[in-house]
Amino acid sequence: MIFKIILLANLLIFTISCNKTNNSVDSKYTDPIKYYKDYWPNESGNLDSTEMAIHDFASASECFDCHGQYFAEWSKSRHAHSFDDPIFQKGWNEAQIDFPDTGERFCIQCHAPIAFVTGENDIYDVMKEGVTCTFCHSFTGFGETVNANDQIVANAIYKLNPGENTMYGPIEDPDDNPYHNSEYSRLFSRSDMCLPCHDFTIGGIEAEITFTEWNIATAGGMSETNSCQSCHMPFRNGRHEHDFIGVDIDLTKPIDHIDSQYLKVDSLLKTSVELSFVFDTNMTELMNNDTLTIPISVKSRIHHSLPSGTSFAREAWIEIKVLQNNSVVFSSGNLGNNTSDLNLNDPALLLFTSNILSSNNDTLSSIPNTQYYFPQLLPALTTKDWTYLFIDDGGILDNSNPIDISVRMLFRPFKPAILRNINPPELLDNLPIFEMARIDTTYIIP
Amino acid sequence: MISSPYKNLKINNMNSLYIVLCISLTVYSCGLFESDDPGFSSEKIYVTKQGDDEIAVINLSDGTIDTILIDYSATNCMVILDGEECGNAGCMWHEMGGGEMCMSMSNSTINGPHFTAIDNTNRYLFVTSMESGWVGRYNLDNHQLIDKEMVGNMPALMVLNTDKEKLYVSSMMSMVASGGGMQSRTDISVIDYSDDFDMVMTNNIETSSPSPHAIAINQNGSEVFVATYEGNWLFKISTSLNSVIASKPLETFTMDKTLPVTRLKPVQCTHTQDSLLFISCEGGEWTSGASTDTIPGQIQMWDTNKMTLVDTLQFSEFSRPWHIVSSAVSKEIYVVLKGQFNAGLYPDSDGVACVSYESGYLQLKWHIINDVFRYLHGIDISDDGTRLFVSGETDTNLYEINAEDGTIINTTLLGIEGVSKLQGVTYSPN
Repeated sequence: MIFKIILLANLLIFTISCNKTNNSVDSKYTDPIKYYKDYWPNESGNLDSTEMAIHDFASASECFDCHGQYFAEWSKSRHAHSFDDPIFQKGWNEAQIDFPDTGERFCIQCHAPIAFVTGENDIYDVMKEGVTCTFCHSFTGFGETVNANDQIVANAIYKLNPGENTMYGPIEDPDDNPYHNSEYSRLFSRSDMCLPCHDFTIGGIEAEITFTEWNIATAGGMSETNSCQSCHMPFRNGRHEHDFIGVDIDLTKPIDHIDSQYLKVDSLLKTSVELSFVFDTNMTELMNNDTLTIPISVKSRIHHSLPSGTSFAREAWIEIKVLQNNSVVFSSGNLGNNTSDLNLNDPALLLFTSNILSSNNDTLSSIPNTQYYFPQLLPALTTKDWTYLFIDDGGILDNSNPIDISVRMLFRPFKPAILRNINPPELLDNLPIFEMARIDTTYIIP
Repeated sequence: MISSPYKNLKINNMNSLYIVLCISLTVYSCGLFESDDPGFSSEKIYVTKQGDDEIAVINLSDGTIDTILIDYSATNCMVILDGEECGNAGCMWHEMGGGEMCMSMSNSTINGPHFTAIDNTNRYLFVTSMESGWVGRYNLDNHQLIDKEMVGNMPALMVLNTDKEKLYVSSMMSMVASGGGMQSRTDISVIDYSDDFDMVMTNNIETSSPSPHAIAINQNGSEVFVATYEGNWLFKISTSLNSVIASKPLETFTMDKTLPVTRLKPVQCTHTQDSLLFISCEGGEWTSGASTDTIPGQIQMWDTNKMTLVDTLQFSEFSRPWHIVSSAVSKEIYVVLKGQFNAGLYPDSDGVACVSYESGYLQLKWHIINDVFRYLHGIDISDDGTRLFVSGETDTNLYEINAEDGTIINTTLLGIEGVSKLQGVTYSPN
């Protein structure tokens, strides 16, 4: 009897073992460990259910004692003010009027993401912190581009593991501490971290696609060397800065040219483009009969378009002044002050921006009602050539005196028209114009 | 009598014969010694997981998956006092305030394995680690690291001359950093691996054209072909002279090979025994100066004897043809269409395509799409030409595809979606 059992056992082993010869390559990796907590938005963008609760996210103030420098930088950043920013608040209110069922969640999915993933409608303090410490440092996976439909239903995908007393970050061998566990994550060095809030389409229109622009410019995001973090969270003095420098500054305060945020934005913008005259050093062809020709070139040095993100709110343009005997004989893009509008009827104006329109062809200042999008951007790592022609049919130019040519590339984070209808009114007064690049030359008419 | 491990079990010689017979039957029939059988398959697929610093090794005979960890421990650069030694260790020699010192090139130990190449004759596996700049050599049988060589600045694709034991390494494309910093390379690296334990980088072959990424080698190893992603040029390199012996622009548009025009954007190429070179070109929207253009993704077929363009097959502007491979048994090539990151907005633009050149010109034989595909990347083909192996960079699957009609035979998940970042695929027959 025993031998029959052994024989049967052998045959059973034989049968099981021989299954491998079927050349099956069914996955042995079909169930990667789920490191994130889930949530389930419904057709209006509200959550039917969520595995995350408000108490899973600690306030940034709790990070202050040990991470004071990071806290100080973050607290001035636009991430910290993504919710309480008055421009956002105005847009959020409008969205709730225009889209009563979906507008509220649509905006907060990025501007108060803790409210979105926890499904909370009450405003807790930690929600007001916008994109706060414990939100980002709970990332355990990547999201995707947000593709919003015409009804702007919130559907952002975050993969987070909050509330487990573990903070994830890019430090490969973090020191132990008595307050939380620390876990190294490669994700934090990749641009994908910035999904989904920095890659967004609406009704099939690629209206705010900074990540996609970067992805194309870097051959499919091949390397982590040119990640978002490398420019916007630069590694200096042994750590990544956390002021998330972009092009925005705090408009609720007067312009302070020695404020660190202002200086960092100014510095970042100054590394973003190169300006050059496109003529030989003799400039022999500049004046032909009565026409002065000034060809210039603008070269992008960044890995996304200029401007990017809410490009419909931004303006980057060329200011040119041609002077003789200290008098301006020709100009374009020259503003009286920071809050003046550009002359969009000037055919010589070289302007990089975009425009979004409603179904009634009204120009919009926020995204929810977008039906049409007209980009006029400088794509990543490309050059734009532009030629100015000044026809001196009035005989203004004097052949005996040199001509001074000054060209600047300028940038302001908001079109003044967007700020004119927003409270408090000093937002407009505090609007800066940054000089991105400048070139000058003197030309003597032969 | 034989003592049995089973409690209270005593068996006689006759019964033991039955047992031995049964065990022998099981062992023999189940193929535990099948490696001695010439018909036994031990095919493997190597897939780089750039986001995980790993290589997945899929054993097709039993479906098991092994992992090779790419972990080149960080070198303490600051203790190195010699400039040459500093470079060899993967560090940078800095001149600072009148002094000089050796410093680390980055603040991390990320390696980023991108592509593998296999020398079946000498039983080596080579890996480029684009983030750390190393090329690693592994024993193909036990997957143990033998040695590594610093190439620097993002090594990418490789081709081998197994007779002369030379490795030709291209570099990653379009990596000009804002605010200065890393510049696109214009050369390819030659590594001599004839020594069993110590690879040596012997040459850097200069093309003077930015981002030589696509690379292929002819059948006898006498010529290497390189196309520059930014420069838009094709180069023929003599492996005996270690220098460029012929070059042509990929289109008449770009007559200056040194300029980073970045128009057609060649990604990879493959050479066939009839002296034909097939180049996959990404294409897409292009802007420069006062001009804008829309470049379709495309395959170019070149006669490498005459260095002339024979034919072009165009896909959509959103298709982004990526890695490409040729069949050794038929006049067909296979190309991955990477598509757009936000695939939902560009339906049907990605997938895998089979292109025939039987008639002397390029003809699409089949093109498969699938809702599961997300950012396909690498491709290789079995030696008998019947099966393709394709990696999904974002979906993190390895697809086994029937080369005849594009039917997906198997799908194997190799990591975490979006994170593991599958890249190059290499087939090994044993």
